[in-house]
Amino acid sequence: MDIKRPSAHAIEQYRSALLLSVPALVGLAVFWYMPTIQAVVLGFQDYNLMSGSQAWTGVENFQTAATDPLLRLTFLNTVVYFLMEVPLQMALALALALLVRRGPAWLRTVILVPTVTSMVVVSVIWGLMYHPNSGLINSLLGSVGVAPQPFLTSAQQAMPSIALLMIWKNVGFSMLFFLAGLVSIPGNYYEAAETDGANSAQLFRYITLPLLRGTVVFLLITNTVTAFKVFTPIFLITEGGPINATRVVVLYIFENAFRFNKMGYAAAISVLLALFLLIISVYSLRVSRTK
Amino acid sequence: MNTKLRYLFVFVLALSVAIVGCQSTDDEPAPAEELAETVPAEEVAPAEEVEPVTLRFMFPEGAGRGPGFDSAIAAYEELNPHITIETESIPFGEYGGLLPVQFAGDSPADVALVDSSAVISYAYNGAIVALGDIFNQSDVDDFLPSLVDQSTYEGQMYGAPFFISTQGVFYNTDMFAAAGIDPPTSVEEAWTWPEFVENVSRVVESAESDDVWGLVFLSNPPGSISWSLPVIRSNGEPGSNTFMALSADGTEVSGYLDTPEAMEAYQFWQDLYVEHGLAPQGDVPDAFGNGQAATMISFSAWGSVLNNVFPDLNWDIMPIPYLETHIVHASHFMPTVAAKSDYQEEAKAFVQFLSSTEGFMAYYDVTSDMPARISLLNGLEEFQVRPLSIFKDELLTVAHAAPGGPGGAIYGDIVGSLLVDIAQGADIEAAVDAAVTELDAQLTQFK
Amino acid sequence: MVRLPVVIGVAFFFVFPYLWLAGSSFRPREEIFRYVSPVSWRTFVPVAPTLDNFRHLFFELNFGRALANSLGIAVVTVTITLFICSMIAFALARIRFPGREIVFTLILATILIPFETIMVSVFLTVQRLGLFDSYPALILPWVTDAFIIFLLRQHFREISDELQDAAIVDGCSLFRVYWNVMLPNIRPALVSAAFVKCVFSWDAFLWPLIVTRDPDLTVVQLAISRLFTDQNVLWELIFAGAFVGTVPLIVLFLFLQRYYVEGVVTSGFK
Repeated sequence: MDIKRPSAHAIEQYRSALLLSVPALVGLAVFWYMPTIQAVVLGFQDYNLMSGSQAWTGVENFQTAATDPLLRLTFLNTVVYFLMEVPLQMALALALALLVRRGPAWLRTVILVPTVTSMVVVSVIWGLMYHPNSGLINSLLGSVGVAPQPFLTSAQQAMPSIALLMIWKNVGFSMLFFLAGLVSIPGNYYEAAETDGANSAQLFRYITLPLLRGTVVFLLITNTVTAFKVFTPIFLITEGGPINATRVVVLYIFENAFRFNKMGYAAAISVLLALFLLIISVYSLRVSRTK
Repeated sequence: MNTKLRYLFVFVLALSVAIVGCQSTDDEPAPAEELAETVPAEEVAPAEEVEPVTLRFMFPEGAGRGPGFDSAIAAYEELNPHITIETESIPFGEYGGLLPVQFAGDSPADVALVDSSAVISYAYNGAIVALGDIFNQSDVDDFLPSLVDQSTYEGQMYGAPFFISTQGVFYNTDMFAAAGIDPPTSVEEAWTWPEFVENVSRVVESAESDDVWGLVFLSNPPGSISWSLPVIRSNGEPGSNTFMALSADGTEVSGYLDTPEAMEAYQFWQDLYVEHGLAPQGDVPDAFGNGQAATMISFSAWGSVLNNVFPDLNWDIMPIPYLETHIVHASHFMPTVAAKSDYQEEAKAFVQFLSSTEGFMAYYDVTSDMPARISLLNGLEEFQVRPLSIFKDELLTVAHAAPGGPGGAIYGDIVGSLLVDIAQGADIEAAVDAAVTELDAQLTQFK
Repeated sequence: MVRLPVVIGVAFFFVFPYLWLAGSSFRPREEIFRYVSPVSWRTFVPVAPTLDNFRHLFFELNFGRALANSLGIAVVTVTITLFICSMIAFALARIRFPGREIVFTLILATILIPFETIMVSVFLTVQRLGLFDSYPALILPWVTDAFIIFLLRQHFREISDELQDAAIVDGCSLFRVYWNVMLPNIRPALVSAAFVKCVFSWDAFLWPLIVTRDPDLTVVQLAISRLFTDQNVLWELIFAGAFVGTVPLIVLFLFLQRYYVEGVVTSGFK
């Protein structure tokens, strides 16, 4: 992978690497690391956001988190959302990428339309489409003889309804990354395999998928992280209801920070969430490399 | 291709440098100009020895609110030439979210409107200061008690009563006439909820279209306790635990939200949505304006919105129904002074002016809102005649503050979603139990 | 090629809620929600079409200024982001130096913290840097994007070593390799990154709300959110604003999508 040079040139290389990295590292330090360190410190405090008063509480916030039934509930809800959203979104994105590569050019743009549509408007439109009494989806279901469904107003259906909405909204982004990966696969690989008599399923299995591995790893990790950090659609559409069915971790963090005025506890949960995601991400990267 | 893309890159980079550059050069001379303006002003009036002060005043956007405050500010600046007041008007929907962040910052606005239900919470957290003796007893007696209650913490007022809003039932007069039903015309004659259900069901049955709701709110089911909780509270005797819905010290809800009367009222609330199917379980924007709903519970200023947006609609107002005890919630934003303000005395003086008769009238000349002073409510022509007199009479007889205290925001959050869940068909016992448990746990921090 | 019914079906699924949005932006207020149910052609097509909503937005609410702000901010943000993120991504992918993995993990870690948690700290940082209520406050916090560094690093890694070695043998410095050899080879990924960053910048809403007060700095999403007042939600203007607000991005993508044509990157550098 990397260029192996005599160590005499190594210094030169380190210097280049440093110069190339400095602008990004400065930005990260000022706008991400310093605030993050502050957040981590807050996790060990009882911090009042508005008065600025703070008191050290040691690991109390983390102890609370360990036994907080609401944190467990919101975490499980988030896992459920992740399981419903990410695999389906990625599979659909890959299928769409393969479809639009051979389909008409305008189709690419059409699939991206939801990604550029404002979330506020999306939530209004889908709220009306999901309406339990008079929604468009229930009218369509009615025309094929299916009884009206409660969708967002039912504890069982609310999370799948939001997951579907978010797949609809976000799948275009994932498709875009798959497309970028697909067009980077040199065409002569396929030609060679075809002359060897490979069918299209084999081409997909032995050429497309392996060469998309970098993209798959990237999408898997970023989509997983995004799913575990889901907040805005739930904040706008169900606010965690009905009966806590869509109350997810980041909503709970937000509530603790800005509604329950427990900034320290919010920070502690964030640290735990970040650690959990870090472990998953690093593990995925390792696995992808050893394969 | 290659080079084209590179040119694009370079062009865009140049553009970005130019924009950022312009920005900073725009910025730099600004302080100098300010200095240039203020220095002569000081030179002109050295005898008075008053330093010019600029106060920042932040409020949520609302129909006519900007011009209204501009008018009040102009009146104040004329009386106090050394004070300049800059306004910051924030999108309404985001205001509640922005407030805690801006209070956490180094320089929050000196004066900010805070929703009356959150004033004590901000006072408890030290974000705003007690207004001290800017009100004398005759002022306090003239303010609507629900606002005084909602802004008093440990014997001190933290918010200044300025304007007020309460609720009424807007109804479609054509639909009611078609069904031959005459709604009550005064607060004393208000329907009970069972009477309301019976009458409105008849209106819906006799409506031309099949798609007519009996009752809608501003959002459906309403997420704020301002709208939904009075139904539950009204099933208790005045002063009873059900009616209070929160312990007097604001730290306990078990024994208040789960009394037999409250449970009965939750069942009624659910029946309204499920059993009778009168109200929609998901939002139907503009249903009332479009003639798709027979009645709508909304706030006092809604009439002018209907007149502007749906001029063809014929409507009138009746008082809010009740189960046992007549009650409506009354609240509004209140001016407060930030604890981090460098000019607290000046800010308090401005707040005092706003809540004076003079201050409100300067605002009212431009934008009509209901005043927080009883003398003005009884004095201003507009509120003596129907339909607005219904709101005035409610305010003077049956209006109460929503339950609050330091944990008011948490209370409103959890009880608000409880009532949405019940409207959407949740198991009442289980939902109430979960909400009471969570709320009691959250409220212990204020003990 | 692909069967037409599939294409039409897919297109319909993605675009029909948008048709509703587009149609509604030409409706007068009293019509916006009148035909939602039962569903008929009127649900999508305005019965009494009007341009009043757009007129109101542009001539009374100064929506043009918000559009220009958002556009300028997006362009600057995307450009700076692509530069500094591709540089570090190149270093991480193609140059061997000690601590490389640690640096990458540290960068990755920034996407794991929910922004809501550090929002207040970032806000304080911006205030203390004296950037409050300025364009840089809307741009600078967002130009180092771990997602994009990660994406570009993955793509840099997939370029064959021979290409880089050949360039170095030809006497290219590492900077030349980065600029002349590597960047052109990951062009589709750069375009994806640009598009995603552009959408992100365009959608920004909570942050501009917090760090700006000056009406001249209003961005599109903030201008739209001003249409929700406490007394009335101006739905007709919200739909029109959302429609106007998405058109530039759709046009942008139409312009960019030619970089997704296959075969761009097979032949290496000239």
